[in-house]
Amino acid sequence: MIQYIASIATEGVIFSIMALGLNVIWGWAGDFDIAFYGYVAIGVYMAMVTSIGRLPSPDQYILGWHLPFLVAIVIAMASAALLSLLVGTVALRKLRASYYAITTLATVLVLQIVIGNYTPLFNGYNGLYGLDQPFNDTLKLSPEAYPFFFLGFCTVILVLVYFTLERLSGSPFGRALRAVREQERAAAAFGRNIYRLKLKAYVLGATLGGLGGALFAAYLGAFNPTAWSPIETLLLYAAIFVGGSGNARGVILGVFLVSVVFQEITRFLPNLGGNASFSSAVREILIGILILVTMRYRIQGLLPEPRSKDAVAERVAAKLYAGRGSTAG
Amino acid sequence: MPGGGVPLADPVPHLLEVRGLSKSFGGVHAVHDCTLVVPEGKVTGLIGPNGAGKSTAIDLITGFKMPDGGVVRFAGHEIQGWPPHRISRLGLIRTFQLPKEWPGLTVMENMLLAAPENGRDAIWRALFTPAQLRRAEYEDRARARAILEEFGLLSLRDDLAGNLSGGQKRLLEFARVAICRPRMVILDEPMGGVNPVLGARMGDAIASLVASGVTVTIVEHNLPFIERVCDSVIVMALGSVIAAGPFESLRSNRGVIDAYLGEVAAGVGEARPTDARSHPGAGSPRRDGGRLPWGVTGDGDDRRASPRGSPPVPGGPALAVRGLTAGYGGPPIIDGVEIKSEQGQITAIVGPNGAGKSTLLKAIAGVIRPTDGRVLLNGTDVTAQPPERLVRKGIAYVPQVANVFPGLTVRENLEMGGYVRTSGVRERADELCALFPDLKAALNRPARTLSGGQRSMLAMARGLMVDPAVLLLDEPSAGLSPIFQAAVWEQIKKIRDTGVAVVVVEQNTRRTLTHADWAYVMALGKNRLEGTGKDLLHDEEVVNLYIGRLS
Amino acid sequence: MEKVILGVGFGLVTGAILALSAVAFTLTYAVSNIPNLAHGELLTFGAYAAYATQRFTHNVLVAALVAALTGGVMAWAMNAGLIEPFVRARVKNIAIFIATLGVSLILQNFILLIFGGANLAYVLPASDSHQVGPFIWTGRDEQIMAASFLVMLLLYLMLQYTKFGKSLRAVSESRELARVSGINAHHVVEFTWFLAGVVAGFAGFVLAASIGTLTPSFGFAFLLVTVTAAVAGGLGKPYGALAAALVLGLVMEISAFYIDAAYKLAIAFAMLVVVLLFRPDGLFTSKTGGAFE
Repeated sequence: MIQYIASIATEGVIFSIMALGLNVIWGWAGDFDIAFYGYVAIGVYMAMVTSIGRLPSPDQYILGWHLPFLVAIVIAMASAALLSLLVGTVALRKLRASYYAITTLATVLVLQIVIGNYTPLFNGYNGLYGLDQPFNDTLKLSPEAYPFFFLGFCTVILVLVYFTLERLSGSPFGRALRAVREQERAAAAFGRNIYRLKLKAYVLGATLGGLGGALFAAYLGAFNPTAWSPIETLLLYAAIFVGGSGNARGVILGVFLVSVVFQEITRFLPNLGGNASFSSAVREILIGILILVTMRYRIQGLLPEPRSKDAVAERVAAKLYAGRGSTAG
Repeated sequence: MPGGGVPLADPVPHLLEVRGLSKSFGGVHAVHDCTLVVPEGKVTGLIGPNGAGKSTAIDLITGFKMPDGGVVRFAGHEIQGWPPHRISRLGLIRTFQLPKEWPGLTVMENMLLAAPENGRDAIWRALFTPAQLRRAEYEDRARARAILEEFGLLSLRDDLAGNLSGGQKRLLEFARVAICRPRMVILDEPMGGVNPVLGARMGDAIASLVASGVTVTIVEHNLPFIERVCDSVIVMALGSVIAAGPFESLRSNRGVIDAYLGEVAAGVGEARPTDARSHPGAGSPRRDGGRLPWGVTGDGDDRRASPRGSPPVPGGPALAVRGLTAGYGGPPIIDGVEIKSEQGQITAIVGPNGAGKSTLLKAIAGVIRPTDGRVLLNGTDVTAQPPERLVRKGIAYVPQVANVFPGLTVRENLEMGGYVRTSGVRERADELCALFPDLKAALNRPARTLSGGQRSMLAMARGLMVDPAVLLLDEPSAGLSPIFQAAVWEQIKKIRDTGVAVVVVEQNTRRTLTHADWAYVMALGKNRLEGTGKDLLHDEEVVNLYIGRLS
Repeated sequence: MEKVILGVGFGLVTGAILALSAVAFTLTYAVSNIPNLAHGELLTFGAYAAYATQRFTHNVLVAALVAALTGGVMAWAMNAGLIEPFVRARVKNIAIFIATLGVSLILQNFILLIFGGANLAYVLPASDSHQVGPFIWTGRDEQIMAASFLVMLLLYLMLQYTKFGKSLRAVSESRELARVSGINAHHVVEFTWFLAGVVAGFAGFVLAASIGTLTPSFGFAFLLVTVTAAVAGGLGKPYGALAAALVLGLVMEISAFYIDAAYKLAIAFAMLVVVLLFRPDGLFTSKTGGAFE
């Protein structure tokens, strides 16, 4: 039982990292990007091909290195960043709203088709496998203990991501991004380069997606193109819509509500009519309904975007700079 | 306020120079060979009637639209074609006609964003130099608080900017400009919908901006405000600059007045024997004789026209509007408006920009829902009914834009006009083609291939397909050359002669008043004057409403 | 060269099916201004309805009819249940767009629950290939092209010559002007959705017959090529969608001779991205065109 809880907790933590990345693009910048899961997938694939070494043929894929997992994570993040830079440079320059969404949808589908069919890349539809228990050759934990270590490892990363994003959110960068989201023309009238800001947000979000993907690779051990589709992006969105766009704690809450609770509740439904996918179908229907309800009634989600209070800042500043007179800027 | 004429050699350096600026949209010249200069350190006004191209010119100068041609020089740089954020960083910022605050951010955040950025937006700074950022922000926050206090917004600093009232949003716009410390700011209609108290405050705000060295340019329709605040004024009309100089000198400039009130076509005189009506209070005009303020002699008629009695129209007016109040969700644009329109008469509705004339027609036609008041068609209450039903009852509305179906042929447009007819569509279309011969030749062409004048005709013909009792026309001569305007008015008169009650909203005031049987002058959403077209044509009050002093 | 000609032949068939779907998609956009991402499910439901009917009646024509009707009713329901209420509630366009994705998710899984996820074989009487001029077609291919041509013709006649068709075009160009002409725009929109759904349901039937198998997500898979054709033809322009669908069909089938057939879709999507970047208003649009040029 406790193994089971560790397992779903780990999944929740990893999805939270992904969702936080998506939140930068949707919650902060306001762009409805459907290609996001493509960056997660690239993260998975790159993490695998740089750490599983060489599998016996006929499996074929690029690289096939056997680097330490931490290095693999960094490579995964860099790959996602690069790909998003390519896509974003093109898509963000001219497109907005529905056209932008459709373009990103088309992009991720092209990606999926190419990866699935061009086997020399990532072994096509057979996918990759063999990423087992990183760090464990040094740690040598028992199979019962390892999941807890991995959960802890992922949680540490989540905490790092969370605090980094909080700092960014409250910074001038975060504020400028939200201004662009709220009212583009005014942001341009006050000196903000809209395209550049959105692109930065896009790459940042995608990089976090790649990070989540790398961890997901280790969690799953194996991955193939049937495991990813626009639906996966939609599930992450559902988590953000429910939990709170633009609010990091809300996003994490949303992930656990939607991905974890929903999933686990429906897992225990009896398979009516002998339909093996019954529970997952019900789950997805519930998620669809959730999306409808949030779009209609509360697009901002449960937890609102955090608002900085100048009254607080004034007090803090008074303490910090008390008695210092005028400071050099 | 400097008096006299414009000095021969202007010693003040020009911060902004525009030469030959042009922009057209689909064949229409919004801005054409526009040339102007703005001296540094002064307040300059930019005025002109509707459609003069002021907003487009501002968009071109500040980078929000790409010019087709011309040069813009600011602070020594050539900036035409630059993107808006780059121009803004040079020190030229602008506001917008509708306040563009960042609604989901707090007032203080709005201020912090407007403060000079100095590279602070970078991600690496946020991650690695948070202490430095915080200190810089500390100073900005202190300045912001001081400025917010000046504007009376300090207590709202942690409220979302989107929740502010309209007036508060305008003040916030000023506050943002103040903290930004630009070299020059262009204010785009800052007084739109602003009450006098707020207006005074904004006048003070502008004064303090100037005192701190900012060059201010104001685009405005509110001319008393311009007169009070500006050192000199530039006048635009039909896409170009037609005059520049101190306000006083422009007031008596014939070209300026013509631009605002429209020209009276030569040789057009309207001496219709029965054009006075039995209106309670009708007959004598408001003011007595004497020289007309703009140096144009009267046409010799006795201005004190005696009411030429005509028998009261049986059954009352075709259209009566009582106390109509309506808007687009915010504060009402028209407030308690009363008009009457008789069968077989042209009732004109004129007035300066922002008077609510178009809104009035939309409220009558059911396109927008009035919040108060009544609309009576031949005595029956038809207030707030949906437009599809009003058409069946006999009210036809011809909007100013989107007044034909561009992809449908002329014939199909007419068929759509006659959608509710159970019979006689073809016959009626033939009748209308006789009335508008240009259309007959173009029956099978898509409406978008028609010229502007032909389009106007088609728009009216579409409306007439249902044989309406009341025809509402929103600026039927907009954008047309004087020849076409004359042709349109000929058609309108013919329509009137068939017994329709025609209600016309127009910008070309003088021409409209020449043809109108009865006219209402509106301003700021309310009735201001009424009378026969002839009487109002010679009425100084009308000029004052447009250009002069408003109490 | 022979390959290209063969490709043209196949492309015409693919294009014919695609045209049905794309025109239906673009019609709803024309009157409601929202890309309906649940459009694929109209095809899916049509196909499954045809399948179920076929099981009982063994009559292809009845199955086709049921498919069309199912599509029509579902589309009408989508508009009445989702689009109109959301628009009345002033929900932002992007949120309505996302909501249609949600509907798609629900409907796909609904089919999954009822019919299961396995591929169902949609078996029609066998049809042999034969040579028609330079092209190679089966009897079924010919029926598909004929049916599609007939539907397109009927649509054209309706749009150009009937009062309703003209009012549809009017509403798509300017809802306000239509209303002040006395047209009940609401009714026009409702019926347009129904009509588009009928065509889409029929397209689903045709697609299933052509492929031979059904899965719950086959409509969604077809959605992307549909959107590609609709966007390339100019959103809201049925004749543009028709032309773009044919072009896209040709491109896809001809390219299949030169690269791996699995990349057909990738080509289509790449085309979509290119179109959106350079001609977002569609390949055949003139700047001042009305909706139906």
